[in-house]
Amino acid sequence: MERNIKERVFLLFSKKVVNYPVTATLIKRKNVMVNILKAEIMPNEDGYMLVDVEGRKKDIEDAKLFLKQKGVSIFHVSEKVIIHEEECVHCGSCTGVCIPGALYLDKNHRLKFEPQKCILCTLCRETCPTNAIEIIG
Amino acid sequence: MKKKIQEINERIKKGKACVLRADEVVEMGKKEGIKEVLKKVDVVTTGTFGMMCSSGAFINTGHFEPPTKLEDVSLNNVKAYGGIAAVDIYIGATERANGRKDYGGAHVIEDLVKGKKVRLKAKADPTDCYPGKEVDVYISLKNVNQAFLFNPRNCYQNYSAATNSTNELLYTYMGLLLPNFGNVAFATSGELSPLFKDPHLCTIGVGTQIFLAGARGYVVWEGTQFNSKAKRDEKTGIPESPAGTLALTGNLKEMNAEFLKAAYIKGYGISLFVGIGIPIPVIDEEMAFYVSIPNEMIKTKIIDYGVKRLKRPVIKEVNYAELFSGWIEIKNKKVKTEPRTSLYKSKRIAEILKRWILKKKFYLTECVKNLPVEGVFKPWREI
Ligand code: SF4
Ligand code: SF4
Repeated sequence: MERNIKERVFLLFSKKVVNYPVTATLIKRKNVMVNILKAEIMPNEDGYMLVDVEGRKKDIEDAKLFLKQKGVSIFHVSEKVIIHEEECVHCGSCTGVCIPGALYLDKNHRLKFEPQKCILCTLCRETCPTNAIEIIG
Repeated sequence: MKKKIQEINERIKKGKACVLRADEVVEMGKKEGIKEVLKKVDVVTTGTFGMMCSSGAFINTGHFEPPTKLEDVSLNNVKAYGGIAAVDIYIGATERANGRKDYGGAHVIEDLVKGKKVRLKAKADPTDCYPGKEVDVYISLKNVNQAFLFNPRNCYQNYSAATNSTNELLYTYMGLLLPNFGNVAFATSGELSPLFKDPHLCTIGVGTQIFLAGARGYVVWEGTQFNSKAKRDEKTGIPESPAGTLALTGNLKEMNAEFLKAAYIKGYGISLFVGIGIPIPVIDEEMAFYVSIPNEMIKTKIIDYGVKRLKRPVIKEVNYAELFSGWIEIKNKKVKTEPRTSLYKSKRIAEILKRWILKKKFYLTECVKNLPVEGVFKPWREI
């Protein structure tokens, strides 16, 4: 029998999808287990969800395809985020894509990072122009 | 009351000049009014630290034995331009290294400024006077004759902010734009930005001495894409869309890597952060008014990068106080805003320039030629 695999992913929803029962569909129709670790979803607003999905590889791939078709953006979550101070120029680019607000500019306009708020979505690394953000895992 | 640049320089010499950073003078203007600014302040220092692709450096390596023309040239595997005199080359910031996406001309320039050695490889067609066929050596700022940064365009006077209306993630030179108006990116240091403080370029022109990446630099010409016909705000005279630009140069050997940093923008390419500071003399009431203009009075447009055409639709008009607040409303939704220009470094640059002037290390220059008032920036057209 094929073994189950588990993946942690970060899902970004637009408000059009928020009202659609995405999780239920995944569980019922796509045969994967979904464990929600963190979510911020409100009716008629954009939202995000940090989830573990578990199931057969093929089912997980199928589920991801379904999510993409629904207009949900999927990101593979990392284990740890490290900010390399010596490379950072405090431009602030990463702060606008950090949805939970783990990255922000303080009153002296310097970048601050609160790891406890980080949901490991990796978006900050995607946008950092100086390669100051290292994602482990 | 009018002041001459010469008089201000005299005061700097005597240690009597009042020099403030642009953000300090904005506060002063709010509290004490424009007349007091004119009376009290001599020079306002500005600063900006943003990415500008239109950057590069000229280098003269010195002649080789046997004499060789540098024709097909690369620096750390990044193609440089050798189509000028035998050992003159130009390395452009956005040129990518052969086979690499995340290393390019900007990184070569940063490496040189950091004091690193860079591998120069070149091939040439031998001639009677230049018999050499190839060169493979290491260069650094120590062993080359000249190395100067030359930016055909920098210091944009206003730039539109970016957002994304589609439901796909966009990788742009304004950074990652999240779907469905997920964020807004903007690029300026706002009230600290040089060309906002002299919107009609009355005191900045060819020959103006400036702070360029930690060294003294100069304005050498109007920047490419200079546009003096952009619509201006009636009250402040500040253009509401991209307008004036400056072509700049300065000695790379004197520059500091704290103010010059290579950038790799995923999905777009390579660029260079360059720190610039320009001193603005407060010569009359008009200039006193301009230098005191706060973020609240400087406007820009948010445009939709989701529309992949040259003319992108405007989503909203905003001012920089709103953009710097971190949040903005678009179509009844609270949207995060993010700067692409480092305000921290911009302020540091303005502060350093202020200290240079106070310590009598830097004087104001009278420009030798004004920048054009007739320049129009057009899209490409077939002949
Ligand atoms: S990975 Fe980066 S963008 Fe995502 S939450 Fe953590 S700090 Fe913020
Ligand atoms: S995007 Fe990179 S350089 Fe800019 S503030 Fe964030 S970590 Fe620093």
